[in-house]
Amino acid sequence: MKKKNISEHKIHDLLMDQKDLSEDEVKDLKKVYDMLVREELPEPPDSLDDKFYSLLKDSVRREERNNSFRLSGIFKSESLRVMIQIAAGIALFILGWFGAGYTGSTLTADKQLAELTSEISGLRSSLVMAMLSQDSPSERIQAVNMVSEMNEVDSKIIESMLSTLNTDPNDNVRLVALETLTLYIEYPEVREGLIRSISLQKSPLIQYQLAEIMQVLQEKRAVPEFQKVLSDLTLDYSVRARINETIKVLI
Amino acid sequence: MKDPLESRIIRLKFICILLLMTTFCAFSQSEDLIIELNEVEEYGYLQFDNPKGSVNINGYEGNVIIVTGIPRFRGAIDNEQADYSRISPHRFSLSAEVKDNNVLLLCESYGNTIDFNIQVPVNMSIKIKSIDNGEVSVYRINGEIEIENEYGNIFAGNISGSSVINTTYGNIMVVFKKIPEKPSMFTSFEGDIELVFPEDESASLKIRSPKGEIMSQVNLDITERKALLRSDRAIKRYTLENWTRGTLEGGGTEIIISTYSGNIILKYKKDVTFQF
Repeated sequence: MKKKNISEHKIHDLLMDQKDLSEDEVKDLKKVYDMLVREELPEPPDSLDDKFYSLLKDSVRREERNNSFRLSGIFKSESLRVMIQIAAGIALFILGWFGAGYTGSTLTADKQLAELTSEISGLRSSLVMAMLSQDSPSERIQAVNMVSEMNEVDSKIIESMLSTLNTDPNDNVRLVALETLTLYIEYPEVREGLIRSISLQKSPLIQYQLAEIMQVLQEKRAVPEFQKVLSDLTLDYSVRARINETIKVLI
Repeated sequence: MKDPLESRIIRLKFICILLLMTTFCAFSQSEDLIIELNEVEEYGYLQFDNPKGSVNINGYEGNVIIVTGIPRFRGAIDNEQADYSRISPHRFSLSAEVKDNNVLLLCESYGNTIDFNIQVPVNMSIKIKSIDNGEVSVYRINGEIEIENEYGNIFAGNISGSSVINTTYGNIMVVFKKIPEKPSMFTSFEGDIELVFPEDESASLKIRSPKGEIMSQVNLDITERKALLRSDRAIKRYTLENWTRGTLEGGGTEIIISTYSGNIILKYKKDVTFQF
């Protein structure tokens, strides 16, 4: 009861604070309040409580279920759409690929490959040129060896090999160049270059090898060049004998 | 107490003697040409063609090239007369051009045979040519070596740089301190070629000696003779390779050895008796 009194006082004070209210009004309000407080409200039965809560739970569950169902549905339909889109993309790509194959666009691919290989061989030949101009004979030998590993050579490389054979200051480099040139003997410019080179050579090893090569090739155009070499009185004896033999076979 | 004038004279005499001694020394070394280089670390290039005579090159730790020329034959002494003291004239002229540590040694010997001893920095590359009447020997050089000696022998000992050596009638002997990284090549027309390898080092050998023999004391794995096929538009050409190919310790840097009628001898360092 004490509590009640305190609250009554409080209410009274609160009401009195409201300046708009007259004292009568306050009294009336107080009466109403007293009536309300004193009126004993019936306690709600526990079953009601339980019912309420079960209903609340049910509704919440239903709500959740609804939501989740809707969400998963959205998800399913979306993923399906995306998958279909991807599949379509892949199918289009594959179709395009095969289509390109049929419409003959492999030609462009071949062309690109050919361009690439020609580019690489171009790079290789420029590397060979650069290495051939080095001071170190060992590097020049390496360059000539690179040429011997090539499957095809262009006229530029043949020219540089021939000039190496004729003008390189080192006999060993010249010898390697001769070896390499014999690999490409089917090129007419190589044959002609070798014939022209006969009278320019001073190293017995190279002269001897040239005599052997010309004999194998049955190259009659080499004879006058060999005769020029024979006119050199300081020519090595074995080389002279070999050249004489070659001339005899060729004539 | 000494007279100050006397002491000054003694000092002057001492200086004169010193001066005389230095000039004497300078004259006695007049056959030496000393070339100073900037840095030893940077590999330089020494190029020298000896018109007649031998060339002997030694590598050492230093950055000065010392060239000593010694005439092989003294002049005729038949018409020597007691009245005259004989003063030997200079038998050769020698000059050196240096550019960026690259040295070009020029010699004119007027037909005299002059043997040259040259001390060079160990990391220097050398390009030597003896045109006539001499041998070329090179010891302890790490740089690249290029030697040409048409008529004489060539010896290269304790080398580790790539070497390109050729002769026509001489023998070649090479003792590797280490197998070089770049390809090497040795050719002779009628001479023998002897190579001494360090044990346990790898190399790929390409050998050719159509009229000579190949004698090996090394573990050389001979690879099968290859047949080459080259096809032209109309002609197919099959050829068996002329080279004998082999590998040491699985193969490595290419070493090309070619002679026409000489023998090829391959050895290990442990089987060689001489020492450097």
